[in-house]
Amino acid sequence: MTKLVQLVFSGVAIGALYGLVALGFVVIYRASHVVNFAHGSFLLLGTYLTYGFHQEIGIAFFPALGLAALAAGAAGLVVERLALRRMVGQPVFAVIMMTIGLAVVIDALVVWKWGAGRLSVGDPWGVSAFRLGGDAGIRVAAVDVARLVAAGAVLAAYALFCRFTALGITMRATASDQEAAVASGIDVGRVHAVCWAIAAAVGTVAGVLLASGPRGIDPTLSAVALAAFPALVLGGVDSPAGAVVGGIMLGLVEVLAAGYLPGLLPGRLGANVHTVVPYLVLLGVLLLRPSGMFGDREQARL
Amino acid sequence: MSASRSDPSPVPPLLLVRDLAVSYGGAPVLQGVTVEVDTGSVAAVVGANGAGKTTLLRAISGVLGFHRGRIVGGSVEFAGQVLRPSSNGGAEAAGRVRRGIALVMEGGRVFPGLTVDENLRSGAPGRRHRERSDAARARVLDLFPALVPLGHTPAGRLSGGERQMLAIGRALMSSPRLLLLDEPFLGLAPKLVEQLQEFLRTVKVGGTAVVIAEQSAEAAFAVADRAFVLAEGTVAASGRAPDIARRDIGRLYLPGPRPSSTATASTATAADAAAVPQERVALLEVAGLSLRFGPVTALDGLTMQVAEAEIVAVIGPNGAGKTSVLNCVNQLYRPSAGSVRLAGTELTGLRPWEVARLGIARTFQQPALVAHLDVVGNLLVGRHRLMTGGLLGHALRLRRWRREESTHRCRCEEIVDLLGLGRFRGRPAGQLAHGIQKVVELGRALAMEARLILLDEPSAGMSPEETDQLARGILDLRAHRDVAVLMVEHRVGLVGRLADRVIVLDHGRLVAAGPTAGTLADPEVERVYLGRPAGPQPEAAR
Repeated sequence: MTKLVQLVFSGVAIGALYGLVALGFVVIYRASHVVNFAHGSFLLLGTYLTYGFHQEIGIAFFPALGLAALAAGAAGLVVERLALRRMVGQPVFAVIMMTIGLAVVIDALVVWKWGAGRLSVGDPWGVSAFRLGGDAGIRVAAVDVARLVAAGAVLAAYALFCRFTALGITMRATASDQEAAVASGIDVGRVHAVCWAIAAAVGTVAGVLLASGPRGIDPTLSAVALAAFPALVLGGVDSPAGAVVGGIMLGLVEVLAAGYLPGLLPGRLGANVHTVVPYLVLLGVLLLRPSGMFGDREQARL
Repeated sequence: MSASRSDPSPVPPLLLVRDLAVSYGGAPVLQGVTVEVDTGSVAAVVGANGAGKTTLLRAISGVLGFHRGRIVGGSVEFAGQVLRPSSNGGAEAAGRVRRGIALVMEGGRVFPGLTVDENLRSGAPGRRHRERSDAARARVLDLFPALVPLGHTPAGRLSGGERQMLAIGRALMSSPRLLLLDEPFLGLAPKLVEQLQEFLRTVKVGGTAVVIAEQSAEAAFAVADRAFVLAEGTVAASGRAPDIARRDIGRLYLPGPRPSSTATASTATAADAAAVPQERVALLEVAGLSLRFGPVTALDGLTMQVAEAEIVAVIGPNGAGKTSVLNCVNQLYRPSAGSVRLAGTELTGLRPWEVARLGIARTFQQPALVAHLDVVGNLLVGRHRLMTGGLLGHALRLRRWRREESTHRCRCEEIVDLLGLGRFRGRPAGQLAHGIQKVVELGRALAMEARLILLDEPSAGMSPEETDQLARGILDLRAHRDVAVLMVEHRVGLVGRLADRVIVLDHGRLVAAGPTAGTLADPEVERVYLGRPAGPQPEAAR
């Protein structure tokens, strides 16, 4: 029982992070129908920037994280303005190829500046843990608590932003019908830029939380974006709520599979099967609901 | 000397479209179009479908880029300045809204996922000026009181007419100096048409210029000062609206004849009258039909019937639940209660495609065609239920299947000719003008060889000529194939001409029903729906 509770807790915590990563994809996809393959690289850049501000320059951890999120957001803004804006009206496929090119460039720049070795992001919680309910109680890693709190805060902030601010409403309007948005006087270019900035900033928070705790930073962190991909597809690529639920589902399945299956299945199969399970779930969901659990099923009033 | 110095230079028009030429991917759509609109005046742009009305509005508002359209000649000047088309895919339209040009696109294009309030807010630029946007919102709600209780309703839940109001309201949020309306009267009940006309007369006095692109020229001419008749991409005639209306070209746009019979239906026995006459066999039987969306009741215990080969029209104000009846019949909506039977077979609980297989075809307010297929291809889609060959047979193109396909193609070509679609035969449906798409949809319903056809506002967005053609097509069809038709329609002229019986809804309930002529002349119906004081109507001009 204790094991189950522990696994569920850390599954939800890692899942919330996947959701946060997926949210970055969703924000850009909704605005411009582009799947941004450079998202993992923005996440990487933001995380290394945090490292730079904190470990190299010596700014305290949280202000350094905030600064890095701002800087990554600014980078997103610039990239959108210089590269993506010129692609408006071009085939979506060309734009997606461009994001892949961007990913390669950003990854290379990061390695050039910080090298390929593993670094510590210098988070205050590290590998510390505590037990709830005495010595035999549930072991809770501090990093999991940090992940849950941060993911919850960012997701709530995003939801409130979309619901109540004028900019949030214009973002949703643009996502819904670009031509009608433009005809209503909404500057769609500006909305796109804001979305890229939000995605990069959210990605920074997600990246730092992933790198904190036992993992540390290295350039393979950008591949985590791909690990969050099933979450994206599960939830529906255009649904922020779906991204969160998909992420948590993915995290739970992954952690529970890693916790229980090795004991149930023999040898090498048991040791490795947990990496496959999320994709099995993904296949199942897609067979039943091709646009994801919360995806827009081309809803139209007839 | 001082008196003669101020030589009055003529005031330039607010909008000057000069020799405009527009093409979509190389295909010319407008050529040498010149249109002038003065401050505080209303201009009507009329013409058949495909004449280029929508394209003209797109060029003025700057959304051409969204449709791969390009200005290839001439210019658009607003308030004395040439509007420069920028290159980034149509985004320049946002800048034009801030300069005072607002476009209402056809078909009530609202943001379905946003609430009514959010839709309105999204239309207010300079969002920092909260008071100004609140004032604009108050003016809009004053104009369309029907939107007031819907503030927190997602726009996707609105009826066609309510959407149209919201789309117009959203454009007004920017307090435009030039208001471009693409088919604003489409789908509005006569009462609302009059309200909107009244409003246009008011904004005009306030100095706003208005351009209305309309098929139903009668509604546009009622408020227009000047009129421009477009035909195949050029201005065929222009001048003072009353003059144009009187000339030959105007004759095509005048309303159809009103029914002359004055037999009165008793509203007290509306429920009885909603049933088919005793000597006829009921094909469609709707009993106790209710539909609720959360707290909203769209239909409330509706009972009605349609006999074989009968044409029944459902009329009523916007939001009365007319489209919901159609959606419940073909099971796009799951009714909350009640039954729907086709020739004795219960339809509730079936999937929409199963209903289609039983022989119910329908068309939509917004045409729902396969955009990349050509006209004949779309009609062939309608014949899917009649095709017997399996996937493998068709893939291998066995002789038998080839013969079957050519039979189906022949039938589709017949329909193309019947509806006068020959000119558009090979064009992808997505490229056709709105009204033509609606004709293609009707064609698809015909191709299905259905026993019952559901038509949702078949004449919306069509010129009177096309409506006439459509009406003849429907009557022909009934005469030769015993098809029954259940239609939602606002044009009283068309209802009077086509329908055997009329069913009047208000707030999801049956208000009146009975033989067409008598029911339309019923004073209660006039009050609820037509918005005119009860009493004899002057015969409309022919």
